[in-house]
Amino acid sequence: MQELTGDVNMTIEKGEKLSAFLDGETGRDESNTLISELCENQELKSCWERYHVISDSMRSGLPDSIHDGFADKVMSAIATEPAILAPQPSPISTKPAQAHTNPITKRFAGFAIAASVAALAVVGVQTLYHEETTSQVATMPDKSQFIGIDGQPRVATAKPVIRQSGNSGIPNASTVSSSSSTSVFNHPPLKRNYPDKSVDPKLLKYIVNHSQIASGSGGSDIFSPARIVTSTQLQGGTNQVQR
Amino acid sequence: MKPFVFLTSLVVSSAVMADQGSGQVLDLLNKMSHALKSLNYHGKVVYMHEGHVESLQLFHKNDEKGERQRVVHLNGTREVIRKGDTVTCYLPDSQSVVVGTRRFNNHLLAKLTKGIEKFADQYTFDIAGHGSVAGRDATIVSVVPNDVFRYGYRFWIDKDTKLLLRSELVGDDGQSLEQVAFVELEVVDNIPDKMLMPAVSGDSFTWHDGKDNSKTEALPSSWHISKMPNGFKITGRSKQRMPNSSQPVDYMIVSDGLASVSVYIEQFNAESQGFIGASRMGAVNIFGSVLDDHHVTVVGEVPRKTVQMIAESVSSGSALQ
Repeated sequence: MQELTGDVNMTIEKGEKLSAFLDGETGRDESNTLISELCENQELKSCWERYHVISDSMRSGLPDSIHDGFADKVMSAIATEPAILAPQPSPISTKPAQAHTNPITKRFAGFAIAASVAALAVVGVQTLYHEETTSQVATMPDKSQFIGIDGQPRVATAKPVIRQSGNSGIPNASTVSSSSSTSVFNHPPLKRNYPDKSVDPKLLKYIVNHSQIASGSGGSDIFSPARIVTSTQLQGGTNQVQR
Repeated sequence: MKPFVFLTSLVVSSAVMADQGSGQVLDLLNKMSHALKSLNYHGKVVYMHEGHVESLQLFHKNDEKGERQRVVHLNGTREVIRKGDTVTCYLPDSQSVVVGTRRFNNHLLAKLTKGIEKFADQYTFDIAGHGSVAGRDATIVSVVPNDVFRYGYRFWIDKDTKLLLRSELVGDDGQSLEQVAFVELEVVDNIPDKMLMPAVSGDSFTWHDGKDNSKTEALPSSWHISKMPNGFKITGRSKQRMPNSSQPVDYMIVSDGLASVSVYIEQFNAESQGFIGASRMGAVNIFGSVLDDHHVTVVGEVPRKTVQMIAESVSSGSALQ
């Protein structure tokens, strides 16, 4: 079967329950059960990473478009979580939306936008779900300066995706410095505790190419990019050629 | 409303719909496609597949410079940015950037404007009901395949803006293969350009530029596919530059207007590492086979039997398509 992310115990059925949950169609008890079930055993951190997005937006102020019932359900479910799962306020985030005057970026004060320390630190997606957290945990800077593709220096004002959980003792992520000796090519293979027939790495270039060409197929321009950005199979293969 | 006339009476009976119903669906899907391209919007999306859930962020901007869309993985660092038809994938975890060209020209809109009856053999379109997504009222459109060679879809379309709020790919036994749904969505007048730029600098990365150039030599149409499921056609041919290959590969895109299948044909050479047989990544099926001294790889959001049929039907020569 497939690769991809670490919700080991989540079955299709639960996926449908989640779907109903998002629609605001599940009762409070069922919502709590769903979140608890999703978060059991070793998948705690990966599970919570997903839900931090929702909880973040709740804390920083609800955009008008959020369904009222949905918000209540998430908040009540979160409130009943064991403390260890509660998202730690990030030490580097200032949260308040009012700090930003731009109406668009105001919304993003609490949103996690992709990690910005690209040149120096590579966050291996697979390490989020690695059972052995042997990699050192480095502190992600709250602001990083880097050169954008237009050549202008940019400062990332949004907090990075991967946040330290601080007091909980559970690191939310591991970071791997991208010095040449520890590149992702040398990263040990991800261990899994479920039978997994991984996609042959030789096929990945075809999948990426197809996804690019067929963007927009199926009436939707999001399935293709979603597949590319989420696949844990898309790790640096053995075939990288330096330009 | 112009009545739809089915051209042949032997059209699959499940395709028969009330004139008003099919007209309604056509109109709604047209509006949806238009909204997707022309509005400025952003939001959070959950992507569900095989029991996994991912969070993504999406920005879509349309202005005098054209259409741009950015999809960012919120649990990782990757992102995909599309500017017009150029699609760039930033993959910091493998320190690479892959650039490609969107060539799915048979967009749902383009096909549907020619009349929904053309889809009648392949799919049945219907209004399946109403729902609520991200706090917005939505109309649910169902697209049911009439054979086992393609998947079905359900679209939740915002009654207000006509944007696609939720989309589901349905497998051949009715199971949900993939689903995307907005959990937050905001439609705005303007989105800052900065939001459509990658958060990572790709300067130090390895770039794989597979963009189609208009000057690319036309591919001699020497490849044919003798057997394809009903309604599929070769809709484009080109040469694709693949990462880590010195030679571009021959390429065809095959589509029934809704589903897309890519066919890659390359000659065996020292770099070849051919994959033979069936594989799958989520909703995407892949099949590799050998044709004389060439290797054929077929990829698509279709059932395995479809990619297999196409892969095994590729032939060279002057045979009629």
